[in-house]
Amino acid sequence: MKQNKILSYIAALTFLFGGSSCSDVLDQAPAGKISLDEVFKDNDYVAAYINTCYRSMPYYGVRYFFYSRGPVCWSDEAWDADDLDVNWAGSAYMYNGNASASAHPVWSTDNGHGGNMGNFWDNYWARIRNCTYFLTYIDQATVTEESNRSRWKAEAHLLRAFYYSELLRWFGCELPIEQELYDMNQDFSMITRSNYHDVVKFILEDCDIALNCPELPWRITSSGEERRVTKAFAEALKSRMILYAASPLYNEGENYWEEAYTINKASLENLRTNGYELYNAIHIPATYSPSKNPEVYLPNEKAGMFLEYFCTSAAYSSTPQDKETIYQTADGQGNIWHIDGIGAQSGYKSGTCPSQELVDSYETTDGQPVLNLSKPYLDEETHLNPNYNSNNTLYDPKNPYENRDPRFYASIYYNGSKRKAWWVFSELPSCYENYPASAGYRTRVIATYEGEPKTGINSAERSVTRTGYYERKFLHPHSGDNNGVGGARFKQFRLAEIILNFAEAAAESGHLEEAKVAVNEIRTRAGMPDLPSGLTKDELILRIRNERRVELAMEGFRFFDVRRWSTPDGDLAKTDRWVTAMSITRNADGSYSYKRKQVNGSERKCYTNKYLKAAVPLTEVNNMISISGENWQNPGW
Amino acid sequence: MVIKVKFVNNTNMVNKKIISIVLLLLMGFTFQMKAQKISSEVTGTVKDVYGQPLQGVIISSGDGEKIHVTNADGVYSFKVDNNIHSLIFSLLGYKSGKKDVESNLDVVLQKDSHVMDETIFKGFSRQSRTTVSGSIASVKGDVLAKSPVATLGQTLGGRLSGLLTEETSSELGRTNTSLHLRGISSIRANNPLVVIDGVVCPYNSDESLSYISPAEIESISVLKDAASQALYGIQGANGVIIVTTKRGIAGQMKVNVRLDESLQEVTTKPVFINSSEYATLRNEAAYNDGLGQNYFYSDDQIEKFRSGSDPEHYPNTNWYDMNFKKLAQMQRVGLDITGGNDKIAYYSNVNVMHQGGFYNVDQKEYNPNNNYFWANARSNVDVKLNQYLSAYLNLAGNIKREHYSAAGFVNNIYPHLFTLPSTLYGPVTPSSETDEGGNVITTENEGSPVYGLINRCGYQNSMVTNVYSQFGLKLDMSFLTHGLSMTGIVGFQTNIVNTMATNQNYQRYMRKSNLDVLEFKKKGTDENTELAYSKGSSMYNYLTYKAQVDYVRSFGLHHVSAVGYALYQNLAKVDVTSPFCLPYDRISTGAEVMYDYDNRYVLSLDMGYSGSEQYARGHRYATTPAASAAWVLSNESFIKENASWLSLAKFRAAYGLTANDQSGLSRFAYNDKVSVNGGGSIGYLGYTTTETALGNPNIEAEISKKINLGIDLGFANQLTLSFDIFKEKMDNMIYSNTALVPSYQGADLNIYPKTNFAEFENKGFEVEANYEKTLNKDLSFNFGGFVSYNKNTVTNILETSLGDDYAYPIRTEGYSYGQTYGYLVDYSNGNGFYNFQSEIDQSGLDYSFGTPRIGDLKYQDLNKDGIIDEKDKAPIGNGTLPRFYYGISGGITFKAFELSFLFQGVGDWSSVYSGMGVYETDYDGVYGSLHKNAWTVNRWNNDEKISAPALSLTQSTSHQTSDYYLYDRSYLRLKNLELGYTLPSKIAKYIKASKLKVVLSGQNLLTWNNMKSDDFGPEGSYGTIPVYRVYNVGVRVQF
Repeated sequence: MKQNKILSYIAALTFLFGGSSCSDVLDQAPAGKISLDEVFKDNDYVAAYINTCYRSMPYYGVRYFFYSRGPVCWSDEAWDADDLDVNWAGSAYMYNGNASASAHPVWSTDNGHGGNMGNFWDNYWARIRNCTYFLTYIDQATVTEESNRSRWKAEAHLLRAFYYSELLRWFGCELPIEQELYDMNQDFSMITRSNYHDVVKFILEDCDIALNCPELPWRITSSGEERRVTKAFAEALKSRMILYAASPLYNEGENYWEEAYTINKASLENLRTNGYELYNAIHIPATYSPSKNPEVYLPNEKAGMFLEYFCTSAAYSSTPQDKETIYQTADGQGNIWHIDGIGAQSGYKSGTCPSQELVDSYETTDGQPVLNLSKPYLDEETHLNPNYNSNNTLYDPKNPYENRDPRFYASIYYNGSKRKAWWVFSELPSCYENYPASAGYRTRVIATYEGEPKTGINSAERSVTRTGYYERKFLHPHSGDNNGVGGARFKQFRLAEIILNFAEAAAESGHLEEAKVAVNEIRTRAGMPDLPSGLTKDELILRIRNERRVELAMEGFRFFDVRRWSTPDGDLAKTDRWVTAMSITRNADGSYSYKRKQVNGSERKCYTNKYLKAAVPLTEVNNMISISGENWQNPGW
Repeated sequence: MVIKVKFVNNTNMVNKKIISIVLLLLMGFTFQMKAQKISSEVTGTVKDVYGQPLQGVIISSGDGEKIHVTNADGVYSFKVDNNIHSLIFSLLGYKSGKKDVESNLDVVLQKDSHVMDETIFKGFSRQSRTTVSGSIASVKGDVLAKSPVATLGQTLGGRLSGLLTEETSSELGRTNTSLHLRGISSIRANNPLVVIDGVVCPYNSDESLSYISPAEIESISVLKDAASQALYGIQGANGVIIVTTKRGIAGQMKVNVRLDESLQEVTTKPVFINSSEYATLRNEAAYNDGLGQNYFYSDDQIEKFRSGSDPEHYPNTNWYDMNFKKLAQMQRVGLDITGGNDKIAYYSNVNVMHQGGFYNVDQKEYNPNNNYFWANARSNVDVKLNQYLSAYLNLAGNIKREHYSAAGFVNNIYPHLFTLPSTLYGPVTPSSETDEGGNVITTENEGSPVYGLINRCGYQNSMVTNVYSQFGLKLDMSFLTHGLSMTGIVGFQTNIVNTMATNQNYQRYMRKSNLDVLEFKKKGTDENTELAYSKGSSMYNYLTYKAQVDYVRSFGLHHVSAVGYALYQNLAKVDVTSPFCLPYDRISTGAEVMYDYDNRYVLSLDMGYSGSEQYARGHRYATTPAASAAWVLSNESFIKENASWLSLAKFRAAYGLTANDQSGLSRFAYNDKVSVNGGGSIGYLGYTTTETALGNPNIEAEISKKINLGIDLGFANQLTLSFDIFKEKMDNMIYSNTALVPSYQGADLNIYPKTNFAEFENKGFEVEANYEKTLNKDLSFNFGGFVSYNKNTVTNILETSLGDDYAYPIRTEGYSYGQTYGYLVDYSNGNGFYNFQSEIDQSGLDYSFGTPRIGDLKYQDLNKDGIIDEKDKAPIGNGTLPRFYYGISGGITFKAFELSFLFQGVGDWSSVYSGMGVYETDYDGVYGSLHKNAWTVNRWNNDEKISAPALSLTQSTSHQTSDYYLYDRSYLRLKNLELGYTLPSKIAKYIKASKLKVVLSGQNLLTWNNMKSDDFGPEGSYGTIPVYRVYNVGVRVQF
């Protein structure tokens, strides 16, 4: 009895002490936490990580903040009709000069409305780190198929190159090249920046590594792999970035045009060799062919084809109908008739309103520019007095929309053009061209004259045009509330751009004939005559730049083009300061009078020298000043 | 029998060996134990020098074991083992007397104003006050019990030097008091560690403290410096609060009964703005906003409000008085029983508290008013199992039953007492022939009218059950070597909350705008609904194992004591998501060696070695050594002989490290956290990764280096003075160092690992004084007090300058934690307002947040750029904590009367206020007393007092953080006053009691402060329930 008692005491004590701990009690495996090391020990996680490298591929198109075309509206191509309702960010910020180093539309906008763009500076750097991280660990990683390892590596190189190219395009400043990972104890005061050309060379190297990968395909052929990058993507990126590096804003006084010519020539050849060619036929005649569908309201088959191309996503197939598109972004361009077309159609907003300057750039059908390209306006900045091309006999300022380049009709709704779609309103008696008609699916004359109650030019509402024009380029001819055809995938790289890149580089480097042949290929496809013979180098360059403006209209190129064509000490006063509209008056007899005017009567403030490059975020600049004493800010910010 | 003993990985090999040996020996020896004892009877009386019998004198054996206690007549009688040769008679405040055992032993104890014989319990070890070399303050439970309040935290203010208390929530019966010991040691502003009866209770310590009633407390000590905290390792840096509950002492069973009946009322109440005042102020605001005279109310209407001639159409509704009771009641009953014999001693306590409601309710189907019952019971039992082995069990249980409105606790309801204007008819729509009425009335801007919150939302019942138990075994190992003992403790806490809630919705009505008819329209889509029931519960449990070895021995004049311990803690919560579902573990070990020679030269060495799962292997454990020394000059013979007036002189110095593992890190911060989810840009790849945290494998506990210097002086055994100065410095504080990390490195700065690099400093001093004098057997008095000062500074966080164009580009470094920034009002024109339009025009200032009107505040353009914006902000106030705090207490005993008081206060504390009642624009205009004299042209022209910027209906440029709204929050408060009268013993004997006492007491009776208005007090704000004043009548009976 006694012993039992004592034994129980001992047991109790033992329990007290013995229970106290074992050696690894604090060493708990934290469930639900995966470390980066573990990611590279699992094939599926490695695949997930390369997927993460893709995360910041931009959507472009109408997916800039608040369903805007961003740089399209910040250039002389268009005016954003959302300048009142979203006046706290986006286009209004650029127009009124409120963009600053602590709030700039390029990186301070919310990414909740309009895709995944977000803060360009942070996001692109984050993905560059992901790519470098991936490249650092992929060789030791657990990957079940070696072909995957090889292709993923090529993709990581290519994505890193692409993200660098975006940083260069927007910020245009010297950047640190991240070839090796920074560690937690990195002394960032020791990191140096490389100049623009060196960063571009780094981009080209990454592209070349990708091009040397046998497992990286030239074309994505199944929709499961949509959005993966290809060798064609690498060639296109090389073409674009070497052109940028050679351009006046970035070349730092060096002449890189011959280098740009050589690289562009090779890239273009490689693309053609591997099956890329211009889109050259209508594939959906029932919708886009004016002969089969008069209600598409286009003057000819070329215009129909051009519209079809931008309204149709490329298929993923080894023999696609669309062999021009090199890379298209994610789906999700949305109900663009609702956010970027004719605002009145469903009552929301018009978004991108093409400018008079863009309209002026379309030639007449005889291949003559409307304006004198070397000095398009007599009042060079304010653009109210056009300097007409004296050789042009077809252009009639009293009927300005006749006899124009087919691409004009495929890209822009102008006063008197027609659209058959669902209109949510019934016509008012003062809608002279359309009254009477009730809400429904019907043809409507797009009347943009002053005072037209539904689609007339107006500066006070987001649903109407600021300029007298509406965007048509990406808008399905009959989309509307009853026919929800969303915007097609945005064509981020297409062969036409590469041809024009090549043409520009060739002309700048003196290979005029090659340049002309290239431009004529674009013109022929659009149904325009060849360039005349005997153009000087400067004349040819002006024609190439104008061709680029027309062919790539509203695709987001012009914003960057006018910048790179500027010198570092220049500004954009001649192009971007005053953007004009066509004020049309409806006369009693139903005819129209045309008078150019300034949108809102106010200038845009986003033309000054500092707007050549975007501001680096203030927090980053402050950080770098305290880390290294070096001021990273671009001039003027 | 195999005994398997496992230990912390190589933490404490010494401990491991000692304990293994001990266990083996224990096995051997216990079998030989025999309970053979011979004892003899000892009796006697203990009295003071005036011949008054002393009750509660503890009689213990020479080695410190408590044996017995004297009764109300000072008489004791017990049997003593014959191996005990001397007895020590001790009573707090008296010098202990040591006597050899005789059968009849009368003892006279001398008064000791310096209480140097008091034994201080430091949580893991004991020390006599004489030899304490660190910095420790302590208070006895019976002092705390003078406060007629419901929670222990409320009783601590002003009682302990170095302990700052702030009543952060004042809801009756569930008050919350935040405690800071010597301010804060890092920018985390963590609370001190709470140790209850030798077991650390780091989780939910505020709540754990509130589960103990003051009546159960033997003493509370606060450990303030490294010498006393080092043993607690990674949990010690924020200070340690040692709570010791009462234990039984052998002797005749004693029963104490306490009965208290309290009335409570708020200490502050916002001014009532009557309906004509409201209408006038509302018009005034509209006028200032350019809406013209009489925008809301015509003069005629205001007159009708003023005269009260048509109360139906032009009412004057006092929503506060309508819904809130002036007085609330609280009842408390306490019973404790203590007693025992030489084998077993027990202390049992039961307390029941009832807190009555504080709303005027109007709901017949159920009672939504507050009604809290709180019962706690404790049983502390000590058992001597045999000569060497003793055990104890502490069992404390709490049952808290809370019944309250489904709208929530009072903090959810109180602010809505002020949101409806007094011009509003209410509270419900009137009945008429066509309409039965009774629908809750509100305004467009108030979705939660107070009447609805109280009466139409339903009710909730919460049942909180908290059980806290400790079981300990102590083995006296004097059979090995004299003075050695070993203790093992298991502590277990379970806390369960069950809530049954009922909810209902109700229709809201608004009065139509025409005041001449009483018509209402329905607001929104809410409908009257039946009560819907719901249920929720939560729980956690906390397990502690502790093993400890003690060694206490004297070799002639050399006194040695040592402690070694190992502690394992495990917390489990009901969270089901990782990583929170994983248990929380800590391991602590430590050792302390104390030595003194003849109570004159004292040396103490402490060392903590403790680890937390928070850190990676290799960084998991923190070593916290400390050393302290003291010289007791007054025990030197040359002082005793030549300067006996210097009854106490002692010099203390301590330096050491303490550590903190509560650094705001996410769990397992040493690991990356990457989640893999479906989706991603490339569907083909199936998944995408997201990095939600990047680990820092080098992260480790924060170490605070602390130095403390102290002097204790005593004069003529009457006046005691104590000075301490301290400085604490942390130079591995955990902070996000992204100032040196650019975003271009690519890792998201929001998840960038925090590192140990920041620096923090805290310094201050404490002065304590006590004077005690017994004039004769009928009259004695004492006075005392302390002043504490502490100032913390964030010295380095690698802060990035905001830019040269900022007046204050560095806003954290060099300032105290929680520094506020705002505009400085330009008082150069005398009153700080723009008094003329031309003054605005001539100022040349652009406000980035609006355009100032006349009567708005003129701010200083500190960077001289002509724009008032973020860049002009300057530091205002001095951080989140008061720098000075103090307590003054005293008491007089005259015959059967006792009077005691406590003043408590804080100083050097100011904060910027904003929001409802400070700004006037919330809801339909909420006006505090200052708004009555807001700036108007007339008041300005007539030189009247102006106490607010020009009123506005919406946010004006004056509604910005500025020093205009800086309130001086220092205060002095008569915290506690108690008058007691002990009835003559013959009356007590009527009810067979040995002592019968009645007390009148009060809490928070008077407050002096410098607040700008009396709408709210220095702790609270306009819309938070104020501190309560308590009046109490109590009866204390001892059997």
